[in-house]
This record gives sequence, structure tokens and C-alpha cells, in this order.
Amino acid sequence: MRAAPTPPSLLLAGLLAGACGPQETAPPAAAPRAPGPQRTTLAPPPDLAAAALAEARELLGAEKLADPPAALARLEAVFGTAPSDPEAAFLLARAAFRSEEPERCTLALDAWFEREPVDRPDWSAEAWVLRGWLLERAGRPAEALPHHERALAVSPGYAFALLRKGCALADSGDAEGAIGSLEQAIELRPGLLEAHFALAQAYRRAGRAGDAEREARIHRLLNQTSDNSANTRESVTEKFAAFEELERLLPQWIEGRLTLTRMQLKLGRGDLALARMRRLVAEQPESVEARALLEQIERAGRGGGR
Amino acid sequence: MRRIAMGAAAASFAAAGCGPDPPAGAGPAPPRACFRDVTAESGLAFRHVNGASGRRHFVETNGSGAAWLDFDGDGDLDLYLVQGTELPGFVATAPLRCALLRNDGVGRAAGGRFVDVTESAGVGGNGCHGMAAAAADFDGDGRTDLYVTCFGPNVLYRNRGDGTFEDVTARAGTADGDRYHSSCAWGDFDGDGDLDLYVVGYVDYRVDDGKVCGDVARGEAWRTYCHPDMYAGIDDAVYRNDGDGRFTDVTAQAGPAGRGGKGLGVCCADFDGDGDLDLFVANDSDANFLWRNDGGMRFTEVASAWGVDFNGEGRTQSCMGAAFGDVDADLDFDLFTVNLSNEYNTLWLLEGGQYRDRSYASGLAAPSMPHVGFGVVLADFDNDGDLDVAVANGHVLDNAELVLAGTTWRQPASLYWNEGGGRFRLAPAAEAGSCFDEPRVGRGLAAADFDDDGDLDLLFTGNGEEARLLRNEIGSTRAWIGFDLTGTASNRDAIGAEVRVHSRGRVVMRAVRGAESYLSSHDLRVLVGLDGDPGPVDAEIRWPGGRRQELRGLPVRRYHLVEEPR
Repeated sequence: MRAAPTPPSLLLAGLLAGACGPQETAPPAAAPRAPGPQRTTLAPPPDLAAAALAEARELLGAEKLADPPAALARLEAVFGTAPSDPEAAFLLARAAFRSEEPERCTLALDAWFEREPVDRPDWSAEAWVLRGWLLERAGRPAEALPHHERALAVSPGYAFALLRKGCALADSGDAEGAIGSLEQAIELRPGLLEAHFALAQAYRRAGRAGDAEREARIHRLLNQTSDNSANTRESVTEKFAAFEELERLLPQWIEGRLTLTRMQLKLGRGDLALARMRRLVAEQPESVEARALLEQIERAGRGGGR
Repeated sequence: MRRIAMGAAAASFAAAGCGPDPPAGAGPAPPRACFRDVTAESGLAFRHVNGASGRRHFVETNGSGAAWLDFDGDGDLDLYLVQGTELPGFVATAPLRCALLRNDGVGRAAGGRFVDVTESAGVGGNGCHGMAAAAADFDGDGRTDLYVTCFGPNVLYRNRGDGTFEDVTARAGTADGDRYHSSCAWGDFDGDGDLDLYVVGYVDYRVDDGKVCGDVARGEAWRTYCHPDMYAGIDDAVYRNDGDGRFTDVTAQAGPAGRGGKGLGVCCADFDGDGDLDLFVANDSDANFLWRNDGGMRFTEVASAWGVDFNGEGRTQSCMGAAFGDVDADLDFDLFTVNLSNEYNTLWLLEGGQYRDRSYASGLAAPSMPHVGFGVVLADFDNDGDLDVAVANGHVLDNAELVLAGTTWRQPASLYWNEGGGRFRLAPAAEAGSCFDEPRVGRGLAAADFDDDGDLDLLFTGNGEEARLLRNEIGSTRAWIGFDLTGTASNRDAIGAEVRVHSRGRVVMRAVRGAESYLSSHDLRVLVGLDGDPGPVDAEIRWPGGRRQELRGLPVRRYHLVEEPR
């Protein structure tokens, strides 16, 4: 019996950001290729292993510092291509995927599933998604579906697995199935940009032009809100306006409304921020973050906050 | 090689030929490296100057392009190369000007050379910091003219027909202001039989804007060119050819007004098959534009509806160059863009009325990740009947090695073979040519059969470095057929015309391209690889405006001069 499923962190899903790509085609043509990576398993001393894992976590972490090929090289040098250490196998699979090394990723995933620990269902779910996504990228979406299902069996609340499942269904020609899966993904993570994009395309294929337009609009707005390099007056204004429009189009995206409120506080518009948070708390009383931010604003208004 | 002219009734007669006949017989597989660097032996000596002084003016890193054109009407292709200019902090040691190189038998006669005729022709570029060039006969007088875009006002040169050009920018009204322009494209967008002009605007940038980017706290060496996100995008412009040497700026009614976009590349095709020429604009870290031509010089932006505004992952890409072509041989126009490193190059196949991102399944995505792509050509380099891909690569940051992990400023170009079944394979240098192993700061890429031997050669431009000419050594070992089209009712260059060649149950579609890639324009002739040796073939020409012409029993290994039926 597995431990209770834990939804993989948003960070992990974010690192794996992606949506619909390949469709089912003929198997890849037999092109001359270099021999694939050999399966090797090394047993490093504990201190070397710990250092390599720490380094790999950093190299696979924040976007600015991320260097997946370096993480891949470091992990393979210390653990081999098929590590017996589960974390090393998992991180290696992630590094290989992000380094566009599908064969290395497959070797690492094999190693992970050989020793799959029961206490990391989040990693298991992500590993199944990676397996499926590799097949999608190889143009075999129908074969990817069982892998995404396995991920969801491990972690039913894994929005990213629902996204990939939706994409695989779309590329397999099942538009209605894709729509269902993508709508579920958005229900779980309203701000999942890629899911809105994929859903817009799926709606279009299903002939639902109006729904497609709405989802495409939401996707474009989310894209603007995630623009961390908005440096011109125009782009900052656009970003602000995007948050405001999303508040109307996607009110369930609490994270966005909180961000907008914080932006208003930074601009010294505490009055607007207060009204916005009161409205949000009234709509979503169960949101701990919303209540906390409201209290903070009210406290500041009373002169008790920073 | 002989050319055969085809009249309205498809009658054929031998025309003056040039150069030796190609070897007979078809090669089953590429026998040797596809491309050979013939820069030196052709006398091509052009070095781009980007004006870099260490101050890292944003405009330094993007140029420049090139255009193939037969300016002297002698039947072979000459070459125009765009030059930069002095920028604050940089003083040139010699006058900087664009270059017009006359082809005096290059590749076709012993000792053939390019001869620099810029001064006598009067096409030096007026001292602008040049970006793109697009060659076409805008006034329909049978002589190829030239439009040059700049960081600043653009220049339109009218070919006088005596080896000289006249700067007619002011009269034509096509300078397009003191703006940062990138690519441009000629096309008869209103279907009135003359060529209109689409000019891509990049960003609102001034050299003296005082913006400093990069981790300068670590030292001046860490200063970088700013990201385009530091600047607002500017509108593209659309000019309608009024037929009397003047153009009218119809941007406001046409569609691009107020859209911004940070455009870098542009390509044209009738992607929706309704008989008029549409446009795709590759935007840099902004959603792309797909302009559907609604007639009457009006366009509707439909990138989202057709699925090419973002990549298949829903992500904005830093798109540079772009090209339309029938990659999967289903007789419609697929689309390919080349992008920043870590943003895969994107292949969109047109399937069921919508574009689908097939980059990964095609094998084009993963190998492109390390590279920053600029110029791009979809062409059948080995004449096996399907479109291959060539990409000019080179990072935007001249100190990329210092400020970014695992990348370089100079990068090798890429050649991908179309293996059929929707799959591509990156050609190793042993197949592509050793020049594909050489790191360069690739920018423009223009294709032409400059030696008239029946295969497409490549001209690469480099930012701050020499242009390179690569001769195709293998294409003409397979059968091919070429078309040199002359419009009568439609525009004289037949830009936008589609040619469908029927051979052994297979139909191959190619089009006359009025500019694509990045800052560049190609040979306007259509060349179709036929694989094997099929004997005479049939062809159908769909002229701009919709007129169709059927030609039967055409001999292969020839260019056919075809005039639109009157």
C-alpha cells in the first residue's frame, strides 16, 4: 500500500512546463545513430554522493542558475547512467529530460522504477509523466497515455499529469477526452498557462470557437503576467492590466489576485488592495493566504504593520 | 545548362544557355559532402562591420542580410550584401557601404569571379546601418530593383537598366521613418499586378538611450546587449504600390497599426489556399503574427486561431528567421521558425486547417537547443523531392561564453536532411560539408542556384565577419527541373506563384518567394528536385491571382522560362 498521494510541487511542474507537441506518426525512420548510452551503475562514497546530489539540486533549481546538462554530467560521473540511489536516478532523469537526452532519461527512469521508494509518490508521478512525455515527443501519444494514467493513479491531484494526458489525447485524435482532462487540470491549477493554451486548441478542433477564444485570451494574459522581464512602461502597464482582466476571466486564480494586490501595495494603493482582498476573502473564505494578506493590510491600515 | 522558354501555349524552344551541362544519371545517395566553401575562389570578399566598440549598442548584434538578384539581366545571379555603419564609439578604418557583386561566370567558367560594382551602380546604402535586402521588379520594367532596410530610414533603389540604380526612396515614399527595421518582403498583396511591400519593425530603440545591461558590477566585460524586453515593440508597415513609382503607406487600414510585435523575420505564402498572399511575421519574445489577406490591402491577424502565435507548449519564443514550405509533401504550406538557444526551432505542420507544432516528432527540436538560429532556408538541397533545412546560427551576445553557461557566440550552422515520414536528421559535417563544423556568427542566409547547375547553393552572412558562399556539390547529381516565371497579368516576378510538378505519381509543390529567412531574399526561380531520373514531367503553375497553366512533357535538368498566358 502506498502512502497517501502528495501532489508534486508546483515548482516541479513548473520546471517541466510544456504542452501539446507531437502527434502519432510512423515510428521514427531508422537513421544512422551513434550507439546509445551504456548502462552503468557506480557506488560513490557517501560524502561524494551527497555533494553531487546537492550540486545537481542546485543546477536543476532556479531558472537563472539552472544548467541541466551540467547536472546530467555531474550525476552520471558520480553515479553512472543507472544510479542505484533513488534520488540520483530521479534527478538524473529530470536532468536528462531537460537536456534533450531521451535515451539517458530512459535509462535513469528505468533505474528509478527498479527501486521506486514508497515515500516519494511525487517523484513517482513525475517519473511516469516523463516516461509518457518522452513517448509524446517521439510522436507516439497513444502509447504515452498509460504512463500519464499511472502518474494520476499515484497522484490524482497532479495537474501537470492531467495536462500531459490532455495533450496526448488531443494528439491521438480524442478532442473530447482532451477537453475533459485539460479542464480538470485547470480546475486544479487555474494558473497553469500551458493547459489554457492546449485547451484553446482542443476547443478549436471540437468546433467550440467561443470557448477557444476565451481560453486563448486567458493564456495570453497569463503569459503577460508571467513576464518577469517586463521593463518598459508599456509592458508593466500591460502586465498590470492582464492581472486585472484575469481577475474577471479567471476569478478562481487566487495566486494571481494575491500578486495583483501585492503589486498595488507596492505602488502605495493600499485602498485598492484592501478592497480587492476583502472581495477575495468574501468569495474564497477558505483561502488562508487571502485571509493572511487581508489581515496584513488591515493591520497596516491601523498603523500596526510595516 | 540550357534554359527552355515556355510561351502561353506551352510551346518550348531552346534559349541561350550558359555553363556546362550537368552530369547525367541519378545518384542514389549523397556521394560526398553537400556543400563546399567557394568564398575565396569566387572572389567574394565582404566583411560585415557591426560597429561594435564595447558599448554594446543594441543594434550592433542583429545585422545583416543579403539578396540574390540578376541586376544586369545577363542571366546569372549577382549578389547584394548589406553593411553596417559607424556607431558612437566606433570609427571605421575605411568607408562602410553595402556591396553589389556582379557575377562574372562564378562556378560556370574557369576563373569566374564576383566583381564589386557598388560604386558604379550607386547602391552603397546611403550610409545607413543596413539590415535587410529584398530584390524584386517593383515597377514591372523587367529589371530587378532593390529595397534595403536600415536602423533608420530605408532605401529603395530603382534599376535603370544600364548597370546603375537610382535612389527613388523619397519619390516612392518608402523610407518608413527613422525606425529600427528588420526584414521586409515583396508581394502583390492587393492582387493588382504590381508588388507591394511589407516592412517589419523591430523595437523602439535609440543609440543614446543610456540603457546598460548585464552584470556590470562585475566589470565592463560583463556588460551585455540588452534583451528586447527592455524596449517596446514597434509596428510593421505596409506599403501599397500605386503603379506610378509611388507607394502609399496603408499600415493603418491594413492591420499592423498599433500591434507592435518586435518582428525580425517575415515570409509569405497563401497558407489558407484562397488565392492571395498571406504573411507570417516572426516576433522576438512576443507572440507571432499570421496575417491573413482579406483582399483590398486588409489583413486579419489569425496566429492564435491557426496555432502559430506561440509554440506548441504555449510559450513565447524569440523567433528570428522564418520560412514557409511544404515539408510533408501534402501540398500546403508548413512553417518553420528558428529561435534563441534553449527554445527549440519550431516546425508547424498544417493539418486539418490548423498548424500543429511537430518540432519534437520531426527531430528538429532537440538538435537546435544549443543554437541561436537566424537565417533559415527550406529547400531540397539533395534534389530528392523533399524539403531539407539549413539554419545559420550564432548567438546574440558577443560575450556569451562569459555570461552564459554552456554556450558560445560563434556557432556552427546546421543542415537537416528530410528523411521522409515527417522526420529530419541533423547532417554531420562529413555530409553537410566541413563549413558546417565551423563556428560563426551566422545571421542572413539566402539560397540561389548561382552557378545554374540545378541545385541550390547558400550564402551565409555573419555579424561582424565575412560572408561565406557555399556551393552545392551534390544536388545536381539527381534529376531536377527549374522554372523562371514571368508574370503578365500578375506581378512580373511572379512572386507568390506556385508550381506543382507531377512526376511518377508524386506531386511536388514549390513557390516563388519574395523574401524569407532572416533579412534576406533568395533566387526567385523555382527549382524542384525529382529524385532518380524520371524523364519528362508535367507541371501546373498557379499564377498569383489564380490563373492556372498546365505544361506537359517538360524535359528535366533545365530551367524553363515561362511567361504567364495573356
